Amino acid sequence: MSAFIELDHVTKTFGSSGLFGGGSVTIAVDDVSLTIDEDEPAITTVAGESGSGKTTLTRLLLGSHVPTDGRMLYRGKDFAKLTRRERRAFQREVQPIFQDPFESYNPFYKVDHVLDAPIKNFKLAGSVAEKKRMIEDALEMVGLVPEETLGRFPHQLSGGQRQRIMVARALLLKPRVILADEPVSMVDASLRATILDSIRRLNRDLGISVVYITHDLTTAYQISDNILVMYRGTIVEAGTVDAVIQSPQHPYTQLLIESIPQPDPKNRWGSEPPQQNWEITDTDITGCKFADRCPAVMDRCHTVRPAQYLIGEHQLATCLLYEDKGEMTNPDITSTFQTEKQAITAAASN
Amino acid sequence: MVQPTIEETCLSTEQAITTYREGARITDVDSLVVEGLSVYYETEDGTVKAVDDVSFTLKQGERFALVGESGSGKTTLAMALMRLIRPPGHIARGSVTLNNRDLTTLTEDEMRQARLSELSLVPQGAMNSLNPVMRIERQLTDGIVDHLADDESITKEELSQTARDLLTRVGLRPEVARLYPHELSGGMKQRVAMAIGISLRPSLIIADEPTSALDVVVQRQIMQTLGRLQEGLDASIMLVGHDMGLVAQFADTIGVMYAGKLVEVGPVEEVFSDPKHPYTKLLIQSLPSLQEKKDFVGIPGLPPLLIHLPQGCAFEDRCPSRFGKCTGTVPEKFSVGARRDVACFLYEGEGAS
Repeated sequence: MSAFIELDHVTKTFGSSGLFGGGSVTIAVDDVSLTIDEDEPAITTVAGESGSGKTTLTRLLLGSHVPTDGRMLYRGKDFAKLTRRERRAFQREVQPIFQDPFESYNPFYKVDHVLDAPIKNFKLAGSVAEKKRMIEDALEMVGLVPEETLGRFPHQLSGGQRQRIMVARALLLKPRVILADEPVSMVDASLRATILDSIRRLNRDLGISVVYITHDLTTAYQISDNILVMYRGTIVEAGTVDAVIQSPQHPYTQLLIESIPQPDPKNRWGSEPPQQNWEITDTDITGCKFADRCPAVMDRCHTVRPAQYLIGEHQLATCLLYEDKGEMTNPDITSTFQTEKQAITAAASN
Repeated sequence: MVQPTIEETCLSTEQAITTYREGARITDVDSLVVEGLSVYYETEDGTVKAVDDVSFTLKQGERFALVGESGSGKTTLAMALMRLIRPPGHIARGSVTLNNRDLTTLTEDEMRQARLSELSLVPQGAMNSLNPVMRIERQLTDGIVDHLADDESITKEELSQTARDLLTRVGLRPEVARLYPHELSGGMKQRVAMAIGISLRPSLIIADEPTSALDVVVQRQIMQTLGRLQEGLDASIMLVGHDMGLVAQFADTIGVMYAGKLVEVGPVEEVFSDPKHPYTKLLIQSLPSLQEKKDFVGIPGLPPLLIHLPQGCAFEDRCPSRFGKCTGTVPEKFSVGARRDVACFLYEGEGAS
């Protein structure tokens, strides 16, 4: 196993409690350790509601946020100490795909522009013919017909086509990791399938690791191997999607899954859950961050901060209900993860 | 017509749970009757039939969900009910009867009075519809002041009290009245938009994708609050959206739109368990599930351009069940059960309505 990106006890806070900061600090990512592996490319979902820190976590992984505490490693080297050349390689190998397929385009340029730019920028092609071939290959890879796509303006294409061009753009750079931040939330339900399918193919056929950031657990379940669930900066539950979605253990994950609007009129929501109280600042909370909304809250939850407890081989929860399971020795939450391939190998050896 | 103080019709959360769709108060009174409604846009290249010959009925207390992909005309239909279609669009034909009054025949001034007090719109992206430089209280009470009759007056204190009551009813603290929109989260702004929508106790609330940018827990809270408010007012709701999950959770009746036409209408449970129109069937099949992992299936092809509609059924080229008749003639509505219509020749034998 070789680690491509590692987060080692990373914390990211905003605001300051110092001399000039009004005393309000937001802990967007709170002591997270994880690994994105290169040899075993997986699709990993980062789930959580708005304000849970999932976008901050992505920005950390993209290198556009610097950890307040802890370290990020790229191919074993401290990210803060990379040379210029290494940083450039990192920028090519880690590619983002954003939420809004409308805002990523300049309406005055043809869509070819977003595909030409990275080739020029990273000097990927030696000739015009080679550039053309690269672009056409990338478009075909995401299921688009080059002749029907190139030479058009963004408004002439559907949202689904625009988002797939963004996937093709990421592909041109032959990345090792793709960070997809809500790539389908602005796209019609009937077109989501094609985009998710092209993302899945990148993982299976090209061996690219994908981090899929979403609050939609249904698509997460369909497309990913592993999942981590965030709440107010903390990873409250993590493991394989089969373990976490089929048998969620943390009360917050349970609430999330219960709230999914299932397309089944016979199986409707229960009672209205309590709202999050944003009045309490992160630094005020000494116990569990979910305690004020938790249906299973105990007295201790208000004062004791739960650690990561190992529930099964492929699942952990940060909740005092599982204290008796014992604290995890390895803080890296991805130690509970498993790819489909690993699962098959494990089953075969049993 | 204005009630400055809103009496306590708001159910507590606990009551709401017990009444939630259990014994939903759907009466037999027709609240909204839409007949043959068509909205056309006249362009240089021809007429775009954004909404074409749509008819349906909403009972008082009913929750009707209108679904369809982008460009199917669902938002245009909602705007047409509010009579908010802008040129070059216009209501070409049809009637919209709300509480026995045809809205299409009202004068502009009468329609202005009807909006908010008889039917209200919680718009798409409601969180961006608030005025960023106005306190929430002003935005909540603007409509109330605007609807005062010439001989009516209302004191500042009464308005302030009304704003606070409204906020409490949508699950916000009364102090929110003093805040500006940027101080609120997306879900809170959506709640404010709902509070404005119910401020004059309309009998029909049109909610256009009310939760599209919110995450699942907040979405559920908002929808459940909306349901509670609706039941408190005895109003009907028309929910516009493309999230089939939300529709299944919330609505009593569903209408499916495709290329400007209503292709299927029926009770939500029946349509989900036994969809009739091939488009509805594919739509329901393509929903990802939490029960089993399967390959993603989309609906192949794209909807037709509304300016170049085919001669026959608009879904014909994507339809797996098409046959000879589909290319030449547009299917009319066929009744396939109680309050269940399908616009597809497969059901022609079952009797036209």
